[in-house]
Amino acid sequence: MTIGLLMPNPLLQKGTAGLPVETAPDGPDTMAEDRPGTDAAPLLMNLGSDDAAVCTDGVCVL
Amino acid sequence: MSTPSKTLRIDIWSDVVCPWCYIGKRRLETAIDRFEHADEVEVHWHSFQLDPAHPKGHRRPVFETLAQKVGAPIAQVRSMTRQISELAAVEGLTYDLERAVSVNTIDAHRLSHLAAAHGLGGQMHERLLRAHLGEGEIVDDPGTLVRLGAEVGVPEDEIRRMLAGGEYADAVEADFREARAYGATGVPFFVINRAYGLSGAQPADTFLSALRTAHADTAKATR
Repeated sequence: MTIGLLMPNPLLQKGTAGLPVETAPDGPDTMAEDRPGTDAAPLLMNLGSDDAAVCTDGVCVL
Repeated sequence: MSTPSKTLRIDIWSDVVCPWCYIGKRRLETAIDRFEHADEVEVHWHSFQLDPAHPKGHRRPVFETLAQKVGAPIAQVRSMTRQISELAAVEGLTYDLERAVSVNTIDAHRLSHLAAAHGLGGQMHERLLRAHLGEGEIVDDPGTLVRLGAEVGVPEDEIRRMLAGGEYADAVEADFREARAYGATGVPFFVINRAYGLSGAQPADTFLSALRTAHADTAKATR
């Protein structure tokens, strides 16, 4: 089991057809953990394996 | 005798046409059955449309849809999904993806929200997963949704009224937004006590370990 932080994944935006994607803000206030295009999000402690099977973008394969 | 307080809240995002979601659901249930504090767990189901752009009313065999999406021959898609069906069988689930039909799932999710208002959200989601993945049911057909909803105890007149209008569409969208805010990249997606995340159909042992970790941390915090 791996423990780490779930980070935003650009594939998520790819899989959400029809939703607008905002441009990342410029300037010194832009920090690494900012999440352009989404609300301020809590970070979750990942308690799962990173290679568990998921369905993404309408595709579910092994 | 007092009722145990529900100290572990599990939020789950899932789509009714997602084969890994049904497998993940079973594995989580196995973990909860083995969890020594199972009576403290409460589960909340949330909507996540895997393909919200799928045109409403458009129906197509799942194999054809998948073949187009991944750019592979149907024979190859059939081989890949056969392995998923075999893993489902290990969990006691019977998949019949040859008969499964791709549809827009917004109405199925709206039905799940209506069922949840009656305290039947989990049962409704389970019924819809089985209908699509195992029974070849068309889960955007209004008559089918009325029948499936009634099977789990949702009043038929309420289902018909809901399907005729736009009820719960905003709730489906709100669920989706919340999943995105958590950084979900796909489903199933599990969040425990709004603090711990697990993505995908994790093994039951992993779910059990996560439940124990979250429970121990909660106990520490309340000490």
